[in-house]
Order: sequence, then C-alpha cells, then structure tokens
Amino acid sequence: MVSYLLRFLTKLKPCLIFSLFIIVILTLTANLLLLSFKNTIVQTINKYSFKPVGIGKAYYLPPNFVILTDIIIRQDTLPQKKIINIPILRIDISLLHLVLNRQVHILSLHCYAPNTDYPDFALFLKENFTQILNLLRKLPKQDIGLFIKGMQFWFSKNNKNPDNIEADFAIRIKNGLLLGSGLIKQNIYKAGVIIPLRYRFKGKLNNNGIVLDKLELAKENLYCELTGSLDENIFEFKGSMLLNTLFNENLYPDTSLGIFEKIHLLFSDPFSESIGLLKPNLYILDIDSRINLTYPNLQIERLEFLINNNPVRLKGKILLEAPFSCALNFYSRFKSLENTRPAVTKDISINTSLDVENNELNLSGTFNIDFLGQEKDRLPLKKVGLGVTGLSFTFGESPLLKMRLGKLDFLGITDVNTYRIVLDDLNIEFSKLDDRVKYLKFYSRFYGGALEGAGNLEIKGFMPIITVTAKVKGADANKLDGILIHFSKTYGKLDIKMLFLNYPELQLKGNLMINNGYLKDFEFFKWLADLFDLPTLKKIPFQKASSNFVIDEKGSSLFDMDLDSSDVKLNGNFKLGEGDSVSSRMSLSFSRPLINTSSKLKPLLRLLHDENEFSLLNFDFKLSGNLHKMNFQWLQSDFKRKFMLAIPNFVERRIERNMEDIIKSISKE
Amino acid sequence: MKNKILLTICLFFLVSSSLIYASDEKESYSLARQAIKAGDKDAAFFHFLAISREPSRSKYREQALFAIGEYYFGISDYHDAFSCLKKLLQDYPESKMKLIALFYLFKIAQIRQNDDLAKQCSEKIINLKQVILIFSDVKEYKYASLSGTKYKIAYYIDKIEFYINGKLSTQISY
Repeated sequence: MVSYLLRFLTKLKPCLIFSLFIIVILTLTANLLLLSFKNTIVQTINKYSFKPVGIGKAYYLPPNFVILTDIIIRQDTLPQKKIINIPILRIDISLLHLVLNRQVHILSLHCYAPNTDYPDFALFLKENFTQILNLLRKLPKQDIGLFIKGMQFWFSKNNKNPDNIEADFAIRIKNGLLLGSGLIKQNIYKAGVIIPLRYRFKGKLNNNGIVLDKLELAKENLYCELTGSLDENIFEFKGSMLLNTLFNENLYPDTSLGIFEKIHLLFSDPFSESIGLLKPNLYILDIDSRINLTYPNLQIERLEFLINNNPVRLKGKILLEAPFSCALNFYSRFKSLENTRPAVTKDISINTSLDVENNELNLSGTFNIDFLGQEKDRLPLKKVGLGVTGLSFTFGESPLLKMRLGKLDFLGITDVNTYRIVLDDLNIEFSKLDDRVKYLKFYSRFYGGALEGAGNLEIKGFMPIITVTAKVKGADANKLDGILIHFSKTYGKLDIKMLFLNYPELQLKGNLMINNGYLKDFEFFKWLADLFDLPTLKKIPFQKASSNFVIDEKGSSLFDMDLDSSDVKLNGNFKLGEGDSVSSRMSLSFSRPLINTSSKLKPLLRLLHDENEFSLLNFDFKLSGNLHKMNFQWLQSDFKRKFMLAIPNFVERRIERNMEDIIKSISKE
Repeated sequence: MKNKILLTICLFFLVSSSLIYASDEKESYSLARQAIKAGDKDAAFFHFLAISREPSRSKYREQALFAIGEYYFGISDYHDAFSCLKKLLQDYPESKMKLIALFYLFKIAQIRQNDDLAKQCSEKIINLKQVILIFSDVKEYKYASLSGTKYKIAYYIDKIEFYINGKLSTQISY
C-alpha cells in the first residue's frame, strides 16, 4: 500500500511541477499586465470618482487576489493633500467570471489600516455628501463584501495629536441581504483605550433603499436596538435604548489579549454580555421617528420617545450646509428621571432657532415650564418662561466663552403674582479658575440703568453651584413693576447691591436704595391719607428710601427699611414667611406741619395738655398673622400714653371699634 | 276626596313623628343638663351621644357633638375625640365652638406628634380671626360649654393663648 502511494506521488511530481510553473507564469503575466495597465486602471477609476485617486503599486497574488498599495484619495484643488490614505487594499475577484465572461467581478474588498485626518474627512463628507450617496446608488446590485480593519481617524492634521479613533467595519451583501458589524474605539495616547462601541446590523436592500431588521449598538454603559428603513430620502426607525449614566468610563490599558481571552471573544456574544452588565438608570423606550433628508435639508418630521416614562416629542429642520441653521421644537410632559422621589408633572416646551454664519453662532428661542401641581415646601411656581433673542457665542482661550444676548426675558408666575425681568444687551464671559470652577462676569442694560456682576460657577453634580454678586445702578424704579408691583408707585433712580447663591440653600440678599425720588399713590400711604384726611400723603417726595432684603426658600424679608422725607418718616422690618405669614414691626412719624393739614388728627392733638410737645407724631405698630388678614397693634409710646390719658374710655372704645372696622374693610379689599 | 283623606293621613303621621322626635331630643337634652348639674358627667355623655345620632338639622346636635368630643378628650380617648370634633367642624363650619374645637384638634395633633396636622390646625386658628389692638395689648374671648368647662382665648399680636378653667392649656406663636 505504501509503495503504491510512493509510486503515485512520483508520477504526480511532474504534474505538480508543471502546475507550479503555469501558476508562476500566470502570476508573472498578470503582474506584468497590471504593471502596464496600472495607469489605465487609475484613469478609469478617476473617470468615475469625484476626487482624484492615486495608486502606489498593484500586484496579483494567486489564486484570486489583487493587492493595491498606497491608495490615496486627494483634494481637487491641492493634489498633494491627502484625504484618505489606504496602505493596503486587497481585492478578491471571481476567477470563474474572469474565465467564462472575461469580466473582473469583485467578490470582496479588504482595507487594512486606512487613515485620515478627522477635520479633513469631515469636510470631505460635508462637501461631497450628495456625490457619495449617488455613487452608492449607482453601484451594481451584486453580492459583495467590504471589510475595513483598523481605520484610524486622527484628531489633528498631520497626526500632531497622538489620540485617535479606530474603527472596524465588516459589511456583506448576499442575495439582497445586508449584514454588518464592527466596533469604534478611542485610543488615548499613553493612557489606554476607551471602551469600544460595538455595532451590528441585519437588513435587506431594495430598489429605493434599505430595510433594517435590526441595528444593535452596545457598550458597557449603553445598549440600543433599532429597526427601520431608508426609503429614498426618508429614514424611519423605532426602538429603544438603555443607558447607565452612573457608569465610570475609566480608560482601559491597551494590553494585548491572551489566547484564552481571544478564544472566549470568538465564541461569546459581546452584545448579550453588555446587556447583562449594563444596570441601566436611563430607559429611552418606544422611539418612533421619521426623518426626511433631502440634502442639504434635514427635516425631523417626528421624533418621539419615553425617557424614564416621561414622554418627549421633537420636531425640527436643519440646514446641513453653510450658513448652517436649525429650528427645533421640543415638548415633554416631564415628571422626574428618578422614581424614588415624588415630583410634580411639568409641561416643558422649547422652541429654538439657530444659525451659524462666519463662525458666529446665533440662537433665539423660548423655554417654558408649566407646573401642573405644586411641590411640597417649594416655591409656589405655576409657570417659568425664558425668552432668548440673539444669543451668540465666541469660544477662546481666555475667556473660555463669551456670550451675548440681545434680550433675555424671564417670566415667573406664582399662585398670586406674575414676575417679569427683561435684560437688554446681556454680555457674559466665562473664564476657567480650575477644572471644576468657572469664573463669570456679566453686564447688561437694566431698565434705564445698568446691571453688572461677577461670580463663580462650580460644576458639582447635576446642578452647578452658583455664587454671584451684582450691582444695579441708576435703574428707573417705576419700570420695575414686573419684579415687584409696588415699584410702579415709586419714582427715582434705583441702586441695588445683591448676592445670589444656590448652595447650601437658594438665597438672594442685598440692599436697595433710591435717592431723591417720590412715592405716588402708594397703597399704604393712600390708605393713611383717606383715613386721616391727609391728601399730601398721596405724593411723598423723599431724600432717601432704602432697605435691606433677603429672599430665600423660607420667604422674603425687608429689614432696616428707611424712608426719609420732610413730612413722613418710616422705618422697620417686614417679613413674609411660609403660607403668607407676616411678621413686621414699623415706626411711622408725621411732621407737625403735616398734622396741621388733617381735619381728623388736628382735633385729637388739641386733647393733649401741650399740643406742641411733639414735633413728630410717632406711631409704632406691629403686624402679624396672614398677609390677607393681618393683625395690627399700635405699640406703646409717649404720644400713645398721653393720648390715652387725654380721652375718656368710651371714646377709646369708639376709636378702637372704628379703627377695627376700617382695618378689616381694607383687609377684605 | 279619597286623595285628600290620604294626604291628611300622611301629613298627620309626618307631623306627629317629628313632634315625637323633637320631644325626644329635648328630653334627652334636659336630662343631660340635669345630669351635669348633679355632677354625673357619664350619664350626661350618654344623653348627648343619643342626641348626636339624630339628623344634622337637630337643634341640640351641634352642642352635643362638642360635649362628646370634650368628654372623650377628658378621658384621653383621642381617637374618638378627634373624629367627633372633626364631624362638628364638617357639619357646622360656622359653629361658635369652632375655635375651641380647632384648639382641641391642635392639642391632639401635638399629643400624637403629628406635625403636619398641628401645622394645619395652627394655621386655621391664626387665620380664623383678625385682631386689631389699638389701646389694649390683648383681646379676650370667653366661653362656657354645656358640661360647665370654662374656656378663655387671649389674642396677643404675636400669640394666642388657650385657657381651660383658668389654666393655660396651650399657646400658638406666630
């Protein structure tokens, strides 16, 4: 048996030598042909390509491989400038087709380590988007495989920044079925690799586009599954996404895998493993979308999803060429991202339009929150609105960010009041103090005066810690009725110094002062004017009116109030606390000449033994209880004591009854 | 004619039953008062309990409900005292005893350490009356219940004091 086999091999040897000879001859011939036709091949490729393509060398390797090296896709205008460099491209051709039909039929393309500078590549995609789409559409409908291994996107030109993104693609088209998979990872120089994002998809090709049966994206902190279609210009997809936002994306050392790990990777499914490890805290479910892409216009006709059970709706239009612009419309009936904390449902709507021209970004829009209930122990807000007109940004080294707003319109509606603040020409500059803390400076026009301030913004958790000091100079007090209605009756130039902080608790405190102004038809003094027949109280000119103020989560207080007028002096404190509870102590003084004009107070003064004893009539009083039903007490003073001695008890009781009726009637109003 | 006879009979029954009921209620009320005079609070309680079960249009029911609530509180049955006084406030929102009933509810909330309820009650008490003090520093209101308990409420500008039989029971500051 052994000798028979040896005899057979001896007979086969010449055949093998002949076959090898034929292969060598064919290989040499094919390589010679490729060498002589290389320029023709390059010209043919350039005839169909919209960018100049250059090829270094071309080889044939048996049985069916064509190897092209140093393929370069260049810029039209600058031929020496590379867009994409492919060091090795292996083309697998069908020998059967070549022999039978004398046609080169490509079975698959294998690219090894192609690389590009990301800024150039992004520009190339942007400038040639339509041509790329047309090229893909014109490709012959045949079975083919495209495999790209280790494609590198460099962040800076000429690889100055050693960090890069590396991607693998494997796409196979067979009998109209489309299968693909791969991964994208970021290499950080000397640090390691950021966990790769893996993807795989399965679909069908049809005459107008692709039907995606399943597209999966997976990472340690993300899993996304989508189905959908691309029909002409319409993208439609549905699906869900699970995210773990608490996941600490540490860098993983780029160590090569051991043999057992490689075998494990070969047989394991990284997608199902990802889901097992995910522990998501953000669920984006019931994604439903329809996007119309007619380059350069991208229209989001519908994008709806549930984010942790909070419905979100998004519509918009984006122009993908210069000048870039977009208009977005966002709506959500939002409760909370966490189920553990009770929260109030809010209707959140955002309408924005944005355009970029000459590297300047300009944004206008409105941001509204309607509170459909009230959180316990929180400010009784019903609605918050923010209108932004002409917001532009400039980024730099220092300051890091410059923001300019043509107009900022803030609206806050509580159960009882509406507050509105408008800032014109607001400029904000952000500088870096350290990695977490940013320094900000701002100034704007403010109701006929100016507002300027500075502060710190510390990134700590979801809500940044803000500490800001600000000054208002020369604002027209009566124009500030949107902030506090009482300002509508106050005239003069207002100066404010204030401090705002949101940690450890929300607080706004400061001091306000008006010099040489007047109060006109101010409710409290109008009431006194009617009560004591003092018509001059309807307009009180003053030299100085000032007060310190504190507004926090417990309420708002005015303290050290001081009104200095020739006829009237008022000072004291007023605190409005939780549930509209009032606590106040005030001192009100009327001058002798003012009293003499009153038909009601003058006769009372005559009851005193020495009616000229007091140059100022002083009324100290306390207020307490509910704001809409305040308790009132006239506090003891020399004047009160002498007045009580001068009048009989029945007059006292009558006055008390009358005052009670008057104060109660005012409270009812 | 037949109809007229039927109507007359119905009216007769209605009037006579309400008279019987009214006379029962009055009798229970006078028996309760007699029991209080005799110092037998327990017997009075049962008479008031009977009145409290009458329909809400009853003339003495409001006072009876308060008297029962007061009795329950006195024997430290805070659960029944609470439901009885709450019923009084629900059925008679303009009752004369409203302020005292609210004070009792406030006391019960304090005893049970129910801060939310205590806060609700104190807010209601504070908002119930507007106090204007021109020449005096305090305004006092007095009330004697059917069971003979004497109440005094003293309103100051920043506090309300609640006295039972001359002894300070509780105070609310604001």
